[in-house]
Amino acid sequence: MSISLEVQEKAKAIILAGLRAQPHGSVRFCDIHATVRLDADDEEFLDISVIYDGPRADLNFRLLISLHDEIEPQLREMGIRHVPSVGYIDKAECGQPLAKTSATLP
Amino acid sequence: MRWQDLIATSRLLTTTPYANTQPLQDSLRRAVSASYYAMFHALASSNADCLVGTPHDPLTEHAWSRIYRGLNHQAAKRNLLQDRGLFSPGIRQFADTFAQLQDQRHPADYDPNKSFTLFETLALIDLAEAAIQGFMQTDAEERKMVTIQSLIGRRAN
Repeated sequence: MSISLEVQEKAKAIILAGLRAQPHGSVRFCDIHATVRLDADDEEFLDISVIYDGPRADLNFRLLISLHDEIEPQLREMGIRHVPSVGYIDKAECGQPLAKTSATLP
Repeated sequence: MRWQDLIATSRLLTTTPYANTQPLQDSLRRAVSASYYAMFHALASSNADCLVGTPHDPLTEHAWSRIYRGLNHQAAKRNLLQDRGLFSPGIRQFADTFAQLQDQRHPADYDPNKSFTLFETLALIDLAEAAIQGFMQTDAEERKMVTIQSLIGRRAN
């Protein structure tokens, strides 16, 4: 992996700080995970999962799509040129069994 | 294909007909995939509209379809991110979100080990919709430049 653990940790800190600087009502961004994956061109990128606590309705998606624009210079300085893919997971969903069975009544 | 319908389809896939049941993991995968395709078709449609306009005869219909179908997934992502700094925030945010959604679309469609939670899926749909709305609010002249940027790659000297 060319994206070192050290770089991943720094990128996570930048992303979390960027999110915490945005107003999202009573939502708190509490944790962040990073996985290095390959895109369709075999280029590495950071697949980021952000865990948030609070009502989903408070998330401002207009602001969330501006996140990369705001932190791009810092990421670029660290050598990260590929846009990290950031997903948002509700804290209540963490540790829940994933749906693998039918959506019909048990 | 209308991007609004693809977003609606994505949302439909996250619902279940019964209370206290979870959507199928494969439904969530399809929802993620469809939200990316909403972005892809929004861009393809904007490209054709900006370059050709409303088709009014067989020649302009042919040209409109050709521009629409000329969009390539990977090339579009690569081209949009190149020179992204030249564009306004609405376009830059669309390019960034397009790249993110495309990178989620591949595991959603092909990686058996990838899984999505319901709220994670809903957030990806909301991100796609917000990015498309921002993109559509930029003026047609700039979107015409996006057409050129997304369809034509750089050439080596």
